[in-house]
Formats: sequence, C-alpha cells, structure tokens
Amino acid sequence: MRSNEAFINAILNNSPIVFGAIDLENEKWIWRSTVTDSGDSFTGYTKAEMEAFEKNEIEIIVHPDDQKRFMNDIDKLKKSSLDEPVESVIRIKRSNESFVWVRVLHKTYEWDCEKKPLKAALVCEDITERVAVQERLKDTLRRLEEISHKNSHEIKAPVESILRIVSLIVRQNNIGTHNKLLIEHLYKSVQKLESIIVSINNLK
Amino acid sequence: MDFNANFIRAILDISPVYIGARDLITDDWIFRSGVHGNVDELTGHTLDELDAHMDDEIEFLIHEDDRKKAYDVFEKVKEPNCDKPVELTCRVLKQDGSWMWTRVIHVVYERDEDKRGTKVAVIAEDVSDQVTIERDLKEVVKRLDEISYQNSHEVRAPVASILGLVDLVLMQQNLTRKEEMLFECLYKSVEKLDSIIKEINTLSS
Repeated sequence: MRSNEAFINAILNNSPIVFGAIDLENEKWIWRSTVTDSGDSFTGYTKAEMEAFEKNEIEIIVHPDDQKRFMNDIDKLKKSSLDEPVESVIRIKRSNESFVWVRVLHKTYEWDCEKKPLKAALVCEDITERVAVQERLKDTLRRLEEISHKNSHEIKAPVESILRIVSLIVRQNNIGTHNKLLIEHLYKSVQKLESIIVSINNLK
Repeated sequence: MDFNANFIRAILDISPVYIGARDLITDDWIFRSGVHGNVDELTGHTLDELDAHMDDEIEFLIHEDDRKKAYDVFEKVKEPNCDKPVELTCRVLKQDGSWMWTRVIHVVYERDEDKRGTKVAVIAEDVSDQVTIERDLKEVVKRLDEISYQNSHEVRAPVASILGLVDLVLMQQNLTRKEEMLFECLYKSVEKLDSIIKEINTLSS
C-alpha cells in the first residue's frame, strides 16, 4: 500500500496501541506514536520531564518490582541475533503517580554487519482494565471457594449437632404439650435450615 | 521518523491490532495487515474464501445478532463530516466455525468534495478473552450475590427462630437438669452456626 500520511495519522491517533522504535545501542527512543511537542499523551509526562529522565527512564517509570525482569528482557533482545519478539508485562508510572499495567512487545528490525541488533520496533498495550477484571475474578472465585468450604464442612457440624440434640429432646417422655409444640417448631426450623444450606451448596 | 519497510513489517508482526484501509466507494479492501501467504491471520479464512464473499461479506462474517449494528456503522462512516472514530464490537466468524469477539475502530481519512468519506482506516482487535473473562466475572458475582441474599435472609430466618424457641424453653422453671443441659447444648450449637453464617455473610458481601 502506498504510504499515505492521512492513513498513518488516522491509525496512530486512534489505535489503542502505542507504537515506537528504540535505539538498542544507546538505549534511547527513536520515535513513539503518542509523543508530540507538548509531551507523551500516554504517560502524561511533558517533553521536559522526558528529557530529564532519559538516562534512567527504566528506574523512574517502571515499577520497582518489574525493573529487573524488564532489563533482562531488553538484554535478551540486545543479545539475540534472531528477530524473535520479546514480550514483557510490566507496570509503568504515569505523571499523576498512578501505575498502569502494560504489555510490551519488542522486535529487532535493524542489525549491524555482525548481526548485532541496533534498532527495535515496539508496541505497548494498556492492559490495566484486563488485569483488574482478572484480579476481581480471582478474588471472587476465592471467596466462593471459601464459602463453599464453610457451607459444606464448617456449617455441617453445628447443623448435625442441632439435629441430634433435637432428636434427643423429642425422645424425652415427660415433655409437656406446650414444650412439645415448641420442639415441633424447632424441628421444622432445623429441617428448613438444612434444606436451605443444601440449596446454597447446589448453587456453586 | 523514517517508516522504512523493515520497521513497518516488524510493527505489523508484533502488533495485537490488525490494521487495514477500505475503499468506501467500491466497498473493497485497499490493504489489510495480518495476511500470511493466502490466509487472513485474524479469521483464518483464505483470501479466496473472503473474495468469494465480497458481495455478502457482512452476512458471511458477522454474527446475525450483530449485523444491524455493523450496517449502522458502515452507513455512519459514509455520512458527510464523519470526523470521529466509529467503534463496532461484534462477533466475527472464524474459519474453524467459532465466533471471535472483535473490536473494530473505523476512522475516515479521505473524503470527496461533499465531505463524504471515501476511504476509511480500520483497526481491529480480537477481544474474545476480555469478553469471556468479563462474562465469567458477571456470572460469579451473580452467584455470590445469590449466596449473599440466601445467607442474610433465608438462612438467618430459621436460625433466629431456633434461637428464639430455645430461649422460650430455657425461660421455663420446670425443666429437669437433663432437659436444661440439652437445651443449653442446643443453644451453643445454634450460636456456633450463627457465627459461621455471619462469617459467610462477610465473605459474600
């Protein structure tokens, strides 16, 4: 397809992905699609802020727990003579101090004559929402699991004990008519309780 | 930035989104990424299969429940002065017969003298995983809500009634020591049950 500025702008301005190119030798950005003269619309940093942390960008914007892993990934990319994509899932800090989860893919597209990687293309996708939904799902499933355990194990013991005691009371010969009525109600309530607990267990 | 061929090839190879351009006059693709050999990577269909359905592409590729939405989007991008991205989330038929949730963004980038779109840039992404996980979460939350409702309403009622009845019995003066012991044991068991139910309520709320 013939290169067309309007088409490229339409793609770059509306894609949910950040596209970029990095100079692997000098560890510098060559270009990224979200950067304009006013700054980076993805991270929120101004041009001046970006220039200030150009030398130690990873230490400043990558979450401390993800830095080592990310540096290893970049090293892998720099040492590989192949053009295999290298993937990293990391948190990066925005100018408002919040962290976003991103999935970054790098692929070398220029080598020197000794096959040493020089430049890599990059795509970066914001996956914060996806990670949050996954975390919520995990947490809800864990809670369901715990409820399931409590309903089928912990609740069982007192319900069985209540049923046993009520049966013992029913077997007493000298219960008055009034008490007999109360105990009948008691027995019905326990049976109702048991059936509800069984129905809750069937929900899971 | 010099968008040289190697760079563009590398970007298209690793991009999770598929990029294309469509001619709105001929309703035909000008370009689309993700085509390897004769196969469209996103759907798995061969280009021959897709070409054979050029005239009924929407009926062939888009789930019948999403077709109206798709037609509306294609009409919208042809309207004069359509200068905002138009988004469509729909199910697309894959070659293996399964449906893939796809999010497609359309952006007009070329217009005629009446300001009607003639060419549109297309950005498509497979969002099936996202849709599945959101649906799973909705289902699990619904189950948790049901349990929460049952625990706090239906389970609490008989427990409260048992506690009340045992209380009534224990208030009587004419119980034998054995009866008193049995009812006290009963009370303790119900109390224990009540505390577990409260724990479950905390977990499910």
